[in-house]
Amino acid sequence: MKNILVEKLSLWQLFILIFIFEIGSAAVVSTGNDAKQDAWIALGVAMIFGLGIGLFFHFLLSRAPGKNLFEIFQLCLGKWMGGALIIMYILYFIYIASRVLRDFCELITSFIFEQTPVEFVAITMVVVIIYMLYLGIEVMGRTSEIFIPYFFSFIIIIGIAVFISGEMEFTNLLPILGEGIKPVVKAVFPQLLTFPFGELIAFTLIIPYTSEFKKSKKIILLAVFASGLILIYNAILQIATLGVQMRARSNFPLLSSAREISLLEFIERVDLIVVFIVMYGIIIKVGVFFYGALKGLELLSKRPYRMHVVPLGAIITFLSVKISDNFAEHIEEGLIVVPMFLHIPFQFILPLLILPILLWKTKKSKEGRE
Amino acid sequence: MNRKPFLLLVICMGFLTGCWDRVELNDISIVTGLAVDKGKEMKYKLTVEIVNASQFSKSQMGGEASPAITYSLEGNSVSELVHKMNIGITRRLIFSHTRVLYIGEEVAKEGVLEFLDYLDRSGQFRNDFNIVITQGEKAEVFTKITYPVQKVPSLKMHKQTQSFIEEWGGDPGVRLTDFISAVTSLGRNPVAAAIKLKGDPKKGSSSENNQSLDIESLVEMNGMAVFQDDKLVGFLDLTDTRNYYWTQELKNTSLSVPCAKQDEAKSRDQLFNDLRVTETYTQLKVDLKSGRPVLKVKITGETRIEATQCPDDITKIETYNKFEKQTNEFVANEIQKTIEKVQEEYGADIFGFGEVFNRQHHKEYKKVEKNWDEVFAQAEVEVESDLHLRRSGIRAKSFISEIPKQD
Repeated sequence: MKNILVEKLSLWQLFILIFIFEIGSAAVVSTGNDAKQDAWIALGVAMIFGLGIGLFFHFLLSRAPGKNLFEIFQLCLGKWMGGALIIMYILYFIYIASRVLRDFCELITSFIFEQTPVEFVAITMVVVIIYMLYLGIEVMGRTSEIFIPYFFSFIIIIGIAVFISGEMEFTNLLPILGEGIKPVVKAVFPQLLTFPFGELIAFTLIIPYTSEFKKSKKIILLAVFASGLILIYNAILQIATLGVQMRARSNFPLLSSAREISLLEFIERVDLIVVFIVMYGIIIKVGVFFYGALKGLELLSKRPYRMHVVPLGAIITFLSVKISDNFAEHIEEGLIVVPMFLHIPFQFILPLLILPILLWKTKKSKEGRE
Repeated sequence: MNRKPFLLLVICMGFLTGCWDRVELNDISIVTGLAVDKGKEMKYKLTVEIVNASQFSKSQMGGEASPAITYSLEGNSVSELVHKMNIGITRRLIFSHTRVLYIGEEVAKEGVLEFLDYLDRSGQFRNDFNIVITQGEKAEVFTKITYPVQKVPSLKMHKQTQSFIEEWGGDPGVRLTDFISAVTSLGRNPVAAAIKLKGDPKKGSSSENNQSLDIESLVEMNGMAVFQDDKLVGFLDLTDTRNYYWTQELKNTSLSVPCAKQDEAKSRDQLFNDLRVTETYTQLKVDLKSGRPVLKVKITGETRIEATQCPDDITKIETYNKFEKQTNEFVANEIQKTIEKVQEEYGADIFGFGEVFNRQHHKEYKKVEKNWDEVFAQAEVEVESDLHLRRSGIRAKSFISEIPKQD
């Protein structure tokens, strides 16, 4: 395993990656619709839980310094059991990466390129991601450093532009908690908890490679908090612009809101900047899940992950197209099946099960050392 | 030989050009107006109005060819018809610049507005075109009435409503998303602008119409159409439309307020103050009075005297106060009349009081949500007007008050 490169991410890069990762697709597809006009409250609640989730993952990693989640599995469960678990996680990451990619392809083919085959969009995107990951996670971090100013300012500008265009009606947000707390709870569990905050699980394979692990805890919390704020801002923007019903009926509410922008009857049709946000968000999101799967393969095959980039990229592309027949299937699976049967076990149950074993093992090794 | 750069170039060519969905400019025609009528045999008759762009280039200002072309087809769905138009038309149609959607009265009455889903769903239509209901004539007729200044019928219509809203406000200012969310909302019923034709439809469709001073055929604004859910139930006249729009988002309008007390005398014998209302803002509220909703409208804004026919001395504070009071009474009365008229005649909450009620008293609203329109029809209305008279143009006293009286 000596030929495996040790990579280092700076804390700022980690912050950016988490930030973009969280916002990426969650800003674009409609989230928290169960809570109706209180979707932003639901996002706030989910964000608080997200902070907890971040803390939990960090705690898990801090018990075995320098080891990523997969190495912890092997440490706790031994080679074979751990290996089996890793294979499951690899499949999970591949599946989620292709789902996220499909989200983007659906957006492009339904909004912009109506005639272009969805395969083509997927391939184009994956080629970029393959290239980026082939050069390593550091490159992804540095690329994000370049793009973050645009990413951030575009999101903020959309809101301001819609506001100036006079399309926002903040009365759409009323009544606040008219139906009580129930719809909010329904929106948070399990949907908002797992998507986007629970998906932080993929970062358990990146966090160990930051330059200063000890400080990364603060960074994770900050990033989750910042992205949560942006998501809330986004939800308010969408609800105020479109109204609850229209938002629920829109496949991509942020894009629909951006279409309302009309400044001085001159600056119009700026919805493409939303596409930029999504595109970059998706690249990062697919990239991080992709990287998670690669790390697993690296550990199992004992060969540098770069060898697996191209074949795995091909698999993700293929899967993203084949994963569901139509948009309805894609969304329904994403809202009902995936959170219950994939997200919750892989994001919460399995790490929670591993925790006692890890605590026991690390305690033993510490005692042994003493 | 190093083939790598060449290969890379070829690959890039495949990926970097977005030429799959390209549309060349000379392959498209721009649609400015859509008219939907009831079909004779099938569900809809769709008429598209296409700009004849070459008529607008400076080099070819011949004036011989028509500024726009219309073409109609019958079918069961608008989206299919849209793609079938090439039966008679050469180029692909582009809808992102649609300015007006004309809906025939018959279609609206039967509530067959399902075709709106296509406009809502398709990414091609922007949310900036007018929706108008055509009175008297079929909708397709209105796509064929040319006008000398704006030769393309729908461009004229669009500009006209825009100016009208800014100047006086006799158009409900409804866009597609407004309409659809009003249809789906229980606390609001949709409205749309109404237009009618003055003159002979045949004469309007030829560019000769543009050559006489007294235009023989002209499209006029005619108030608005009131819907109950998705069915047209009736029309309101221009003044009522202005009053309706005042409860929504009116900015400017003009009033003639009688300056003596309104008595039995005919209006032609009365004296009026001509007031320009600017910067007005309206607040809707629904309060509960012993368990029953009371609809409240509060209007604030500024006015200025544009002209007066009254002999009062405008340099005095009392006169300002007097005029202000008269104006507020007049406006409150006007709005009240319109709301009560809608309550009595249609019983459809087009003002969105239900939505306001929902925001203010969510639990009470939930109880009456299902039959809100009935509750609305019986609810008490209170209108409060708080307009301020600020100034009076570039003259102080009116010359009318200076006319020497000879007895």
